[in-house]
Amino acid sequence: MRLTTAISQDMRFQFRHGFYYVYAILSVMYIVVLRFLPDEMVHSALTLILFTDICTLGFFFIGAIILLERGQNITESLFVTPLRLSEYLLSKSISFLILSTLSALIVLVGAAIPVQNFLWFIWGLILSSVIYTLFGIVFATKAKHVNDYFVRALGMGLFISLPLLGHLGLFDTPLFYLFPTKSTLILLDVIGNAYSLTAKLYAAISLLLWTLVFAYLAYYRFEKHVRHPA
Amino acid sequence: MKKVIATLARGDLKNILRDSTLVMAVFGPIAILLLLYLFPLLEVLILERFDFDLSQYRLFALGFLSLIPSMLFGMIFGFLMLDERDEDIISFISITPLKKTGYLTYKLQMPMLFSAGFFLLLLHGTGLVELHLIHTPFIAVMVALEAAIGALFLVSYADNKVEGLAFSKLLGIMYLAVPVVFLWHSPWHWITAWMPSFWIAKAFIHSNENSSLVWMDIGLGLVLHFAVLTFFLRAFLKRPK
Amino acid sequence: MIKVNDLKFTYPGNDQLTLTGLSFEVEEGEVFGFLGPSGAGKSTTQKILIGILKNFQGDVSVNNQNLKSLNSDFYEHIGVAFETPNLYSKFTALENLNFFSNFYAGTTRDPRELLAAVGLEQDGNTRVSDFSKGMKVRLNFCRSLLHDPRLIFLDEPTAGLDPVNLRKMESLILAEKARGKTVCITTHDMHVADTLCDRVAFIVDGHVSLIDAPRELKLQHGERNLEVEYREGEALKKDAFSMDEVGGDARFQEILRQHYIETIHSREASLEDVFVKTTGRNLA
Repeated sequence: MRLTTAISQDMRFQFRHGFYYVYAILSVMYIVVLRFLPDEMVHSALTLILFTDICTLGFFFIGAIILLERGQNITESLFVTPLRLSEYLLSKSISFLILSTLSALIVLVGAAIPVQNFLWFIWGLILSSVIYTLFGIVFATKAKHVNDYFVRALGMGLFISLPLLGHLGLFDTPLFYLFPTKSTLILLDVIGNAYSLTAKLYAAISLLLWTLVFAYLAYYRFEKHVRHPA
Repeated sequence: MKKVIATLARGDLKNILRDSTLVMAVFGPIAILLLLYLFPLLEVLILERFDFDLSQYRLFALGFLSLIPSMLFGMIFGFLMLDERDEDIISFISITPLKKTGYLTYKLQMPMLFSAGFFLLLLHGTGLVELHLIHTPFIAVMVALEAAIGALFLVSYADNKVEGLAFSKLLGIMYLAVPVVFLWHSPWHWITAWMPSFWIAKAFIHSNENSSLVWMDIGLGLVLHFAVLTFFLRAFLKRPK
Repeated sequence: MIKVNDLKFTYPGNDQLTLTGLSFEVEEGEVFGFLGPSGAGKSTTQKILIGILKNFQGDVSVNNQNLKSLNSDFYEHIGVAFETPNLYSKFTALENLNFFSNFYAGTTRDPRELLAAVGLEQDGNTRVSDFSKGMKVRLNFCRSLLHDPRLIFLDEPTAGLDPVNLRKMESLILAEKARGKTVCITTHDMHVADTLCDRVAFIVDGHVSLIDAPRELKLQHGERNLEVEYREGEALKKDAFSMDEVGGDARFQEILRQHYIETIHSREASLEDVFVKTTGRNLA
């Protein structure tokens, strides 16, 4: 009950702040772009779109949302109700996950992209979306305003995005397997390209572990800097 | 009047330095500068690895990347203004001699100067592509106006920073005309002519070809940029807050 | 309801204790006021009592629960209204109240009735961003009462209210008391403390310097004197008499008979006088 209340509020909040309209427009733009691209480029372009925007939108927005909630003193009043911090974090993650998934599916269907390994793909999309929202929360807890959030988060964000170089074929190293983004890229890419079962299993399991790591970090940082600030 | 502006400038400087926004504001353009310097190297690398000639896309890469600072500065200053609205600074200033328009003129100067500066630096500093020195100042004005349009769009339509962030995603669409003009070799690319950035891309191509059509691009482009700016300005002045 | 013994607290990075050893008890069903200048430790104390600040020393139990071992169920029976209103500005008053009331397991009060009680019945469907400061304060008060809590914390509940709404708020707080609730108020408004509180604690420099009922304090620290202002010709004169002897005082009788009386007051101290006298501080 508390969790569903929180999720529905977060979704309505996102709706009122234009998220759903913006992603409707963006999804259509992506569909148009994908439809005009030559066939052999479609899948890597799709992976790129998912990775830089649709799947990681939680990271992009969560800083501003937490700052707004803190600025309007909503956070402090939420935590003098029976709402648990875990429920709060879960609600933030799930609300973005829903937007990510909807937008991704609309683009897939709208651009009529042939799909394989769909369950692997969805697993990767869901966990990745959650991971990058939590990743953003880790940095949002100490940020003073939106620009500050991006300054804090962008360095680390760019660093963990290094495996993108491998995806673009510019530079690759096995070390990239230590990055959560490598697993994300694999599982976003499986709908168009063949990967070994080992690679898929590795990506699926490591994403689960990364989710737990970032959930712990986000919980710890939020507890320390926002909920009990002393 | 001067005093109000001096106070504003001091506040801005403090804001920027204190929260290392400057880091981001300068980091982005410098990264692009680096990328452009490394571009010839990248061309060799990609030619070896993929047997793909990137050099034909030099003009596009330069045109696209040199516009990114203007988008970045538009966003940063847009958010700065949204911050100031939350702190009721805009309402306060609207009752000082500076007024709302004065505030805006001042606030938009900075991103315009920065983005025009970085644009010229990226263009002439890297020497990747030859554009005519007579043309580039005019193109730079359009680029500067892009930044102003971006900032003004955010502060005119967004009620707060969360909404601003959502709308900033749409800002990216403003630049969609650039890849369309460069990469889509079909008359259909004209359907993006209503976007101001379309004319920047056109001016790039025509200046590079040393075609006199560039003056038409600049003329129409400037008119369109000012028209869009005026449209957003009206929306801003109409806002209750 | 609340038991605090030798409470000490330091903010991280501070050398000095913010709270230097507070002890007090709040009884069930009373309205208890924390009075003191800003920065004295009122808000810090309240933040500890509602479980926001954790690393304190001393024993604190609230609603029979030790604060050292706290879980979120604690908040089922506690209502808090912070000084700065905290609501979603893009949502209407009713949407905000309905949202918060869904977090509680027990029965909740009807948001419409609460709105009506604070005079906002017409504004339920208005977005909070269009509310005035005073309206937000009242809505915030409604939010703290949604789950019918046994213990209510109000931080500066009358800040930003006009005289009419101030009266209304005072009577609402007293109504909660009449329903058997315990109310803790922090304020620096002596008038509010005087009219509302059964007992007040003066907090200065991180400790409680005095706890008593406002009436007792005023009597204890006042002088048992009567002050008369009267006209003698054009001149305005003032004279004071001991209350114990005023009945047989010839001079007093004479003034009453022969002069035009402008005012007569007993000189018990105001709560503010008591505060200044006992703590040596001003409230502002």
